[in-house]
Amino acid sequence: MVKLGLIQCPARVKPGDGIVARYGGTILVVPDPLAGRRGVEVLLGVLREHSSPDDGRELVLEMAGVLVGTKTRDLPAFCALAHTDGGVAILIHGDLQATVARTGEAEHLSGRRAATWVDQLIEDPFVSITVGPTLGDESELEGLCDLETGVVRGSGVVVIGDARIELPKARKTSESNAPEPADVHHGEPGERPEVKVQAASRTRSAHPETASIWNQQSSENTPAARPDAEDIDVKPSVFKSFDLAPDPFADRRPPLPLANEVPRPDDDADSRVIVRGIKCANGHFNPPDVKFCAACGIAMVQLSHDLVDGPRVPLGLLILDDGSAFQLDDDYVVGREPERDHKVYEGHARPLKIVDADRSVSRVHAEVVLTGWDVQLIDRGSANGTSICTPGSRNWTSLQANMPTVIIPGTEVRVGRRTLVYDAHFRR
Amino acid sequence: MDGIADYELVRSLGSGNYGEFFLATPPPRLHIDVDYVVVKVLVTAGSDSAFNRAMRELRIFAQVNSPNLVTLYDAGQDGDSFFYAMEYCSGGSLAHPTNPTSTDLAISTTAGAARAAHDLHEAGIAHRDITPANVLIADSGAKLADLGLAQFLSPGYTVTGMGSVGSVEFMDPLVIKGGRADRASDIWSLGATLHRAITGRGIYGELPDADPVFCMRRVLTGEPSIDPSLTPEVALVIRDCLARSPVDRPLTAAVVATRLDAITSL
Repeated sequence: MVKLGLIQCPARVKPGDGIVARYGGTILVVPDPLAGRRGVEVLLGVLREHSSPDDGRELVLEMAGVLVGTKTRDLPAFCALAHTDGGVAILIHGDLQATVARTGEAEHLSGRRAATWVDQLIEDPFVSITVGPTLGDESELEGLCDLETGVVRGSGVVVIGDARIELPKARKTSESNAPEPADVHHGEPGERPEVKVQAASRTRSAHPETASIWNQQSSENTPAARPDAEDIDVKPSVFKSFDLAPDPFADRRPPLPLANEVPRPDDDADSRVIVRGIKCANGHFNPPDVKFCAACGIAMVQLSHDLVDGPRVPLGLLILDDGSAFQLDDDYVVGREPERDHKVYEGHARPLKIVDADRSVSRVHAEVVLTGWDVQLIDRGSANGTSICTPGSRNWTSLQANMPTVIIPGTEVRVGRRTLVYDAHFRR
Repeated sequence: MDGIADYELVRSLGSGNYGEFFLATPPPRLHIDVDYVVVKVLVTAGSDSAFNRAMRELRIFAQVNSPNLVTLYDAGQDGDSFFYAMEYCSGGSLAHPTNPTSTDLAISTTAGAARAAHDLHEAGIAHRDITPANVLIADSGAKLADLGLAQFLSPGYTVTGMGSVGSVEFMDPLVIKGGRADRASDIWSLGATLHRAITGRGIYGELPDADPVFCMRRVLTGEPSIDPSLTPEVALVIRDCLARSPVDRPLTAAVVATRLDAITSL
């Protein structure tokens, strides 16, 4: 497929009282230029200077510079688009919207709720980018219009991308933390190419600071910080809306089985850890040292206690102080932003995210690791530490950073000012 | 929370560790002719595959053609949050009805929710979060709202703590212990929901919101008890729904609906 890039995309100007400009690989939309005429002249100057095709990032950087150097009230709302390798850089300042249409989904960007500006890299392929009001009749003549170069009157612009010409090919995202598409590893049927592209762009907007194209320092592996006063999250008001229309291939399922039918094979059965344990008289798998079966309550004392291998059943729950509970059938990374930890994004542990307005919990605070039938707790060098209180005791013990400690059922765990309790499904 | 996507939020309808519900006015891009929608906002920490699984559940939910299911209008992502917008019913829910509900209305509304649950089951998905707050009272009859998606967005996330700590009373203990959500677990929730709606009391007595660990142990180790004020016919349906073993419960939610309808038509 020949990549057209922004330079060759048709640009249809929406009629109106503002200004739409296009030079080379750049487009500028100012719906209300009279709100700051001098600012518009500066922006148009920047646009002309950076119109060469490989200059897109420079242009957006320069625009950001104008914004930083100017009192924002002197600048009207505007949107700049610039060609970059593999996509289009977009910057929006002020009350102005853009909609990026892709096959099967649309992404909306708005500068309305941003204190400064919103920026993003729109990856190819897209169906269209609409800047400015989306309302208004689609004139039949619109298909004939195309602004190649110059400055004209208009309220907005529709840039036609190349996704309309050819369906996107499945491709891997360049980001290391994005998982492989589901159907490669797990054979899930019908994961469409669109879904993968959508997944890749989702990763970007989920981490706006790493996605920013002119702010390349990565904060992915930042260790848990001090009471994180410095990490003021600037949330750009970017949102995506997904198509709810069914995918006839992926979304058709057989009815759920009846209770007296053979259940469907468990999706997780293959991934469960094999451990040694004992079986009760009814065949339920249990840890070797329990007195009663966790599944049916039958006493285990008369059994011969022959050890057998079997898939580990959930050990219990971690109950958070707000009443939410997490199943102990896998490892967890506990924190305010556990999804940042490599164990989580590489799929080796699940995130146990604590929404903590006080920020007493570090981004990556602690880790829960299941070994055999035991639950181990590890403080990950958190700012406010992790401490435990065993049942019946009133003393809290602080954990040494990065030293695994086995916790027994009923143990209370304090992370920052929040509390978790390990409640076991087994009675030993 | 200062907003979600392009919705104008009117007020919060409840919250938990992972999310919040809002009454909101719909944005023009949806082209829907209603004054209000309910927007549920969930904070995500899951992987992209978890997100895609949650979206797939929602797409199936959206295509199930059932008169007793709320309409799903929109779903998307805003920063770290996953959101979706659903139909709003001015009649309130069995948890917070706009007008006082009679026993017959509680029964017929639960029957409607059971039919909606059955339609979901036939389409291959479990609801996972049937509670009085999710059984809505509409002019046209009952509407089953929402869908338990937390388990998809954050695998292992068994109890959400949304609404109140006590909402754990509506969950099948087998699911809390790690079992799979299925027809039988939704049927269990229908029984617990009906019991609370008619009697105003929970099947484990009152669970203290301040002590989630106590609540959990009560639910996992205690036997549910049926309020003696219930008529024998209603008590029998509820007792069957709450049977410890799934095979002893009504086989389908449609059976629950039929049995409840038979009671109100007497």
